[in-house]
Amino acid sequence: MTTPSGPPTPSGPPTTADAETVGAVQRALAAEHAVVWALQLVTAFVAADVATAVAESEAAHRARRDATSRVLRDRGASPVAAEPGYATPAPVTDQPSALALLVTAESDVAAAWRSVIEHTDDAAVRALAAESLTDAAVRATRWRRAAGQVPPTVPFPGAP
Amino acid sequence: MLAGAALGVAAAAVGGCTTTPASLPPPDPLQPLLAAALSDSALATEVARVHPTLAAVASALAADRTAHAESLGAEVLRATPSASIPPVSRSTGSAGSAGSPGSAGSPGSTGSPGSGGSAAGSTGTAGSAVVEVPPAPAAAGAALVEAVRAAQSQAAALIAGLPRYRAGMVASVAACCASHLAVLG
Repeated sequence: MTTPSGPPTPSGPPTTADAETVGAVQRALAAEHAVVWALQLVTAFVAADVATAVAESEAAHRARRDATSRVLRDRGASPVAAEPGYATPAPVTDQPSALALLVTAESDVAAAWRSVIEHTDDAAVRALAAESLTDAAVRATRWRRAAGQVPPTVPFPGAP
Repeated sequence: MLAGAALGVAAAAVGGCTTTPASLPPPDPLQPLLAAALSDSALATEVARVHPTLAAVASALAADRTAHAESLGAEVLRATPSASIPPVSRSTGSAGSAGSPGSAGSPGSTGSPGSGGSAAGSTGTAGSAVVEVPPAPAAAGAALVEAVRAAQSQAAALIAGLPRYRAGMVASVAACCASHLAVLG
């Protein structure tokens, strides 16, 4: 499992017994890449107080992204790379549109991690996924509050 | 694995299910979460009614915890159709029947109106109050924090041992509670 002889292409399913876990974690990693990109994008469009929260969140998601990559490597998989860029649902031109993008990106992260929980019995992966889901939900709530959205919460973060 | 065994026992019990206590199915591990969701919903509903300054956050919490109770209750019943679950009435009267402190309240227990406009308040019926809301807003807010923190811990602790679908649902419950903690804190 730890032999480095696997093919470098991340598209092929790993030959380990837990391909389902790896596939789900890869999708979560892709969502983490996307939210890091979004957090970088919005920096220029938000006020100073929000920018501080954005910087904190970016650092946290970078750490989570790296931890997720390690989990994949530990299981013999090559972590998916970030895309060069991502299409936003709407143009980001000001703070409201920036916050809307962050809510979307955090919600995507939450959904990806909940899906991991539903596709694995790997205890370590499940624990990571639960923590990541909670963190994404808390951050999405923060961005909704900053945007003045009422209520700022959803009952089942990450639910399909 | 645990759930599989529990289901087997439950299925055996269903065949002869009557009202005798001996034939009751084993407790579902989601039952405590369901009870807490109902209790929190009742508390938050009352806090929102009594404390206008907390109405926004408490109402949002009540709505989410009610949604949790509905989904958890549906899952408990799906696994064990004969399971006994407390009703989710969206009123303050339903929490006591889940084994939480305070007995099942008579106010609003039957024919209770929806969440809005209910006159079955705890302060007016103190003798059989289901929910006690601290009179000071700060204390009421602290009560909400305590309840939500406990709910998050309770849900998070279950995730590792549940089957996949349930683990996902319970993880979302924990994440929602953490979100409210961030709002309340």
